[in-house]
Amino acid sequence: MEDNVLLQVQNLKMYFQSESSFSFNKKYIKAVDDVSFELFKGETFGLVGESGCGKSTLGRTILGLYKPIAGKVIFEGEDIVSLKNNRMKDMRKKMQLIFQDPSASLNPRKTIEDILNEPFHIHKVGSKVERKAKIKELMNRVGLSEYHLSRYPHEMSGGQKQRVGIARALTLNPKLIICDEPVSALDVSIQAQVINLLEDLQREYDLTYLFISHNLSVVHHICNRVGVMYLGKLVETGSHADIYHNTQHPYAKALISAIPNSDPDQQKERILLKGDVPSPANPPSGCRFHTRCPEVTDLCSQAEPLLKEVFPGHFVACHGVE
Amino acid sequence: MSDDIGQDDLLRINNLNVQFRTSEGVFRAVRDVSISVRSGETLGIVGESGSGKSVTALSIMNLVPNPPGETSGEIIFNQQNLRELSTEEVRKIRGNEIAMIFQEPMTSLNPIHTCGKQIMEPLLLHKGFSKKEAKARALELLKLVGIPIPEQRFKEYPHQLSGGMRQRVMIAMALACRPKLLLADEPTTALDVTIQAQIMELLKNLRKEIDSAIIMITHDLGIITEMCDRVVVMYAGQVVESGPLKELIREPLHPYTEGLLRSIPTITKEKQRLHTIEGTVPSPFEMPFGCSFQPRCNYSTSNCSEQAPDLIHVSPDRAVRCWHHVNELGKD
Repeated sequence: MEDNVLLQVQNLKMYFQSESSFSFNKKYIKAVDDVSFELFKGETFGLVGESGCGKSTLGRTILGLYKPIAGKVIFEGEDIVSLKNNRMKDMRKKMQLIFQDPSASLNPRKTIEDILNEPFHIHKVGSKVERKAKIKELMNRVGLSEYHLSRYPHEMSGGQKQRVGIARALTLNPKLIICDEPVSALDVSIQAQVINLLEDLQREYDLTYLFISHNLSVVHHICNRVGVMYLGKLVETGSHADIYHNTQHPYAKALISAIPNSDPDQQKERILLKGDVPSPANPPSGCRFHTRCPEVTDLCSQAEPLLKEVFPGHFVACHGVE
Repeated sequence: MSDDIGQDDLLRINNLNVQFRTSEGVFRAVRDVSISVRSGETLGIVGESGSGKSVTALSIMNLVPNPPGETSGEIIFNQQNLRELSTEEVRKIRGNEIAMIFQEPMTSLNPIHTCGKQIMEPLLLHKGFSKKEAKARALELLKLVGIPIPEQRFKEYPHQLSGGMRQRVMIAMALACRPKLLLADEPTTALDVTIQAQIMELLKNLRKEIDSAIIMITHDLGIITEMCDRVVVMYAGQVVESGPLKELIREPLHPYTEGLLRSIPTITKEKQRLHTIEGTVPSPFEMPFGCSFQPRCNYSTSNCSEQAPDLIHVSPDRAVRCWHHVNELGKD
């Protein structure tokens, strides 16, 4: 079992200090609060939740872009939180990030070739000839032609830019790619092209994906396992079938029932949640979902539920689930 | 498409063309679009970015800036052509009989006025309410759109509200004068899934109460399916297909509609490789010859790249812009 684990996140906490700190008691925004999960080699793990639930922060903390307050991120058996800068730089080659907005994540003043050359340059990998060959290979692989190498990002469409973003993530042969909403900014017809490309690349290059998205239909399509986050906490994790066909947590149930369905024959009753997501600076006591939960009891506002394994491999944090 | 199906059309757009003159050339955003909406009906306009769906909505409200925009065609609302009215006359209709809900409530609400004041504005302007009456009606509206503690929210500014609440304020504002036609341009796109479900439920319930026609503009076929009676599919500034919702979803006629429906992942479908529409939407400055969809179409023939197809009626309420259906009709 241990051999199959690529990444282990243990009790990870990432707090941001609140900006308005006129008072002497510092306030913290608990973006990621005590999150643990594992990523197995070759799988796609989907992280879903609404805006502000901490899913992107979790992705970035795993990459070491934020320094966590507590907890461990164990990548291939080594805790990378405590690594020194130069060791961390080596580690980074193995983990890459694909961003949501391809226009904002490509330098507008560089050509596509320069953009793809940058990872080699930073990590001092390969000779000029090797780099050029690798870039050409990747360009073809993601469905772009050599003609695009001399272009600038503004000369390309959104879908093409996202393909460049994907090629850049692949340059150093990473093992783990964190995809942060990789298709949300794209049109439906382009979205399908990019999803298929990501699936092909995973098979070919033996990649593991952490797929962060608010779109539950896309996650349903691409992921083997799924974790549902609410206000910095994982509330339910399990296999694809566990989450979509044997949903346990009331929040996950509401989230799945809220997806608009394009099949007019399969319209179902919807669980409507009351109110908005509370502020992560001042989360509710006990279970963080109790203010909006349709199945709330007295216990929920007092004690915080822990993640329990209710079925093999299927974890739920809810007092109402036995 | 010059059919006069009944006088009960609340809005009829005939041969609308909108183009923008830019330094790179003439950009034809809307090309010969004809759409009609009946009273009490919800019409969905679906299309990807650049398909011209939002410009169509803006031109109904006469909000396309000129220059650079040049508009031609007829927009007949309540038996009068809005395009022939003076600015003053259009202003009397806008916000009163036709109201609009925009995508991003943060940028479309005025940040320096309280929510209450903004909801009162159309009432004072169009209905001649006294301030006291307007305030009472505004509070009523806030309650109608499901805002808790309306008295307090009335005094608050847009930045003090969450995204979902702001969208509710926008809806309250749009409904203030009981419009006959409501234009909703991507009303839930900027919202989270659970909030989106709340707003959609609200719009569905309001539709029963207010009895106004709604034009729902979105790129999400799921929302269209849940909300609309009839659908218009747009591609590259043209209407490529229109028809009643269920028929159109079950049996799409245009290859683009078919591709679109097959390329969205859903949780009811079995997991399988997604269908894709190859290529990208053509640049507005380099429209392909013939049918605009032909370079991406699986069924394209030589005829498709030579001549542009017209929108033809295959049945009284279904229309499609595709050579394959023209040819089929010819055979019968």
